[in-house]
Amino acid sequence: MKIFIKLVVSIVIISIWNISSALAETSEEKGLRLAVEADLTGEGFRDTVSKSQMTLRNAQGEESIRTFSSKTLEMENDGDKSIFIFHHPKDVKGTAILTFTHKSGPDDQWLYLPALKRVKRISSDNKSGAFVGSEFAYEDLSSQEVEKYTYKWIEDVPCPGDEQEMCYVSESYPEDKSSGYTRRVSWVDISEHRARKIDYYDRKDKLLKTLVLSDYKQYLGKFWNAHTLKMVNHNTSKETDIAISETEYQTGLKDSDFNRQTLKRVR
Amino acid sequence: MTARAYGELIVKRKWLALLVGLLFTVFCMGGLSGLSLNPDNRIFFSKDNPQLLALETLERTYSRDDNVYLVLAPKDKNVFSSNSLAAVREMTERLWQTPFSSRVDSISNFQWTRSDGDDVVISNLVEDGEITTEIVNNARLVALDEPLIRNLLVDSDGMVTGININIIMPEDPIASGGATIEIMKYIRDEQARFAEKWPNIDLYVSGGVPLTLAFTEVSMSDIGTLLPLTLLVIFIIAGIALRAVTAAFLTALIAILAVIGMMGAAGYMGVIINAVTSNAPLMLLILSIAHCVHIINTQRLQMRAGVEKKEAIIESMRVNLKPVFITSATTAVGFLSMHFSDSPPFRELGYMLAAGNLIAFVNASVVLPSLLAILPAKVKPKKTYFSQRMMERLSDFVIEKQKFLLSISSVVIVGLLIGISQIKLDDTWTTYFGEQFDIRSHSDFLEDNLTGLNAIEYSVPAGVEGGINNPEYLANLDKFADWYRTQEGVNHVSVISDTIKRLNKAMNGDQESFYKIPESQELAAQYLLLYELSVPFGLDLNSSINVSKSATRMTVAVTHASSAHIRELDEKAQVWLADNIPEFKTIGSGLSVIFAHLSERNIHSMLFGSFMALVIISFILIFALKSLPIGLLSLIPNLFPAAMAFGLWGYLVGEVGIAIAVVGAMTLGIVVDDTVHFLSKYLRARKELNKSPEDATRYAFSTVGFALFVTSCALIGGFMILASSGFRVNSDLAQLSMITIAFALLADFLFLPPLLIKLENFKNNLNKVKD
Repeated sequence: MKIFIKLVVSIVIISIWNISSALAETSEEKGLRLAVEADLTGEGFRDTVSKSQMTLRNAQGEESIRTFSSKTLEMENDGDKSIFIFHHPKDVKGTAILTFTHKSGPDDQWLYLPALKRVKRISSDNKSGAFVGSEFAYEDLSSQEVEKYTYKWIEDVPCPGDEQEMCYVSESYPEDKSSGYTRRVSWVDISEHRARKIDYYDRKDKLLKTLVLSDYKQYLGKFWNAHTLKMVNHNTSKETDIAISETEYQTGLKDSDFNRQTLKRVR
Repeated sequence: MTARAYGELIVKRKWLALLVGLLFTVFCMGGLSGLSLNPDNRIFFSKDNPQLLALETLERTYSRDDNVYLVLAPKDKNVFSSNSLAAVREMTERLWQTPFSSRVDSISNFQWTRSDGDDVVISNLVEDGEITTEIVNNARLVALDEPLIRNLLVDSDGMVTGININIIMPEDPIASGGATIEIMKYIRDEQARFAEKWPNIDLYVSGGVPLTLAFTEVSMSDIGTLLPLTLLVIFIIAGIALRAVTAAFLTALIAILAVIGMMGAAGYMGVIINAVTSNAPLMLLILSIAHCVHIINTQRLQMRAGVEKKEAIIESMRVNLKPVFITSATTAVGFLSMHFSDSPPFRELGYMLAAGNLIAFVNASVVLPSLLAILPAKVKPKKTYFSQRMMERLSDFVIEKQKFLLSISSVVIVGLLIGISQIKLDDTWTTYFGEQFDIRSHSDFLEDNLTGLNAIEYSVPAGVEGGINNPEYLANLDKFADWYRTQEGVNHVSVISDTIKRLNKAMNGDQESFYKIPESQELAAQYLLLYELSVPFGLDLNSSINVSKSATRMTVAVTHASSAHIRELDEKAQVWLADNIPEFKTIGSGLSVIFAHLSERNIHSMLFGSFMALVIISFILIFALKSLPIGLLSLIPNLFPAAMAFGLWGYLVGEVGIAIAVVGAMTLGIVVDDTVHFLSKYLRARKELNKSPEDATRYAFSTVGFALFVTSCALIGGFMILASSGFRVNSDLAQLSMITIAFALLADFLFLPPLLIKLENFKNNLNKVKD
């Protein structure tokens, strides 16, 4: 019910935006409008469960594999809750990260260390370190809340790697001071709001990494999910691929599945 | 066409000759745009240098790291005050904006990890906001007790502190050259801003990037001061020797034309200007004096004897064209042999000077005579000159004391040769710069007060994927690091086992007893996972752990290290590893290590080059002198001077760098000129004028003795100027060349004539016995 109201309100807002955009919409307004629209297309998924394989590659061509699964629960008035569980390499098997994303303020994070059989709460504002040695930072993978950025629409162009589709290019600027980036530039298709490519600019505003998303599949006739993510670090020429093998929607996860007690039991 | 006919043609068509000569220079100038500048210290290494290949593998496995290192030295000698820490924190924050930087480390953003119940707290050691006494005291306590940063980012007394900016350079050498300039521009602006805002803190800047830029800046500042000085010296020496201002002007002009032509030719060859190749103009200025002195001198001698100007020029061309060409050719061969150097800048220097010598020959044989013909010349007739009297006395002395000279020279030669054993090879690139430069004083301050600029890097293998978390591996790594810490000169070792020990302690209520390697691989792996999730951008461990977690990087900082010391440390480490942890077998890498092997590699590569030069030059001499025994004999005064110079250097100085590898081949082509001139006159007296060996010696002295003396003085004077270069590679090269040329002159005057006479007497005796 709440979701329905939210949807109606959003549609009204969007309609008003559309009307006003016909009059005079600044690039910033258009950027925000598109971000909100994109966010709305993902609304209502309730929960997802997926398995991923991460392939790390250095400039020398050496590779290394990490596998993990993740569970996400959609929250209505706050950011999503999520759990990452590692399966490979063996020495981190069972290590699990629980995150409560917040629309404002730092996220809450707990880590279960099976070797220690304890859950540790991590008090750190910094979420921009490398995620298990990969080229993804934790902030690249965590739930993307609209409120955490400000936006600016740049232009509409054919999508990179898919000239048939048109994409809007927009920039987003993190509100969080501890973010590793000054801005992200994303190419998102106009038809379905699927992000195709994201450039990450470091704190010197120099292009640091590029993420290319592909293999989109639609779930429940509504939700689009990219199954191949490829991140390239332009400084070090290191790469990380993420292949998401299975995704299930609306598996019936509950809020009580996401707390520090359950963290020890998840797998 | 004979040399005489050539001389006649030039004098007759003097304007056309001048035009053709100048057009040649104009043509060469077309290449000038092809020159490019590149500040990169890796230019010294060939692409197949094994130490460089090892470094490149390490860089592709981890990252291609370079750095800028700033030292903040508060005037009150206390880093731990709110004022100093505020400065460190502000500077750290600002330096993240440095172009091409990947991370900035200082005591303010050190990731202070501790636990509070089941909370793991990781934060900057000096957080944002007011810096209270409590924060200051805590920072002192943590920083001075932390092996990860003590003696790296702060000295053990808390008097100076460092900020290290990690730079990831583009791999393309042209791009990395541009990057170096861009980075240093940013740093210098920050330096100026800092000096204004924090007057109570001295700031010193060194590290890989500033040192790299210094290679170019020092050589450029050299050119600015040394080139005009060299021109002045040429002008003075030519003026005195030829006793005419116009002659001095002409000599300087021809030298300048030759340099312009050479730089153009270098452009056509695509030469990159750097600290070594930028010496070519100065060296060519010096080398081209000799041609002019010989040609003008003969003309003026003729005119003094009453010959008319035109005829004097023709006669000068007849007498000099061939020796000038031969000496140009032998000098060019000497320089060309630098092709065998392992170090590309020396190869290019060789190519440039080889081309330059031939271009100088063109100018001296086309432009010079045409200008001599165009310009008026007057000589005052005078009976005898001081120079002639000096040479007569010298020749009398040499003939009279020939036996004494022969034995005393032999003793001196042997004595000096023994000195070669005293030579120690040293290529510490951080000390390539003279003490008058900021980069040197700042680097010295850094090494005296905080940490070493030279580093040996190891990629320590764990054998299997994920193996770096194995407690046994970590314990061994810890042992290896501890062993290194006890070695002389080593003041800091960066190693992953320290991070893990610190995490273990933090996860166990900060109990000191847990500052050790965790007992299980899982625990270590999970600690690292936790740590990496919690650190800010850029401060992760990707630059010290490879992707498959099967190897980690260990960096050993060495203070005031000579390259011999660095080689020794790595060799000792290999032995220690073989005895204690054989599975760790890994060779040291890093720029310092490559430089440490630079001289040896180049000496080996140049041995063949020098030998080739010797063979070719000997052939030219035998051909030019038309005498096999005399040609072979001439090798003695040509070969020994360089060896004697090395010996003298061994006694007086001891340490020498890469310059020693090329000096022999390079000077061979130069010193051979004197022998050619002396022997050709001697042989002419013997064969054409049928003089006795003694009289032929007197003849050689009187005809070319003074010219040889003057040209050698010019060369010595010129190299003396280069010897004042602020770049040690160049000053070593110049000093060794200078000594070699001086010995060569002494050998030609004092050793060669007695040797010639002895040889001829020996031959006569043989003939008598036969009869």
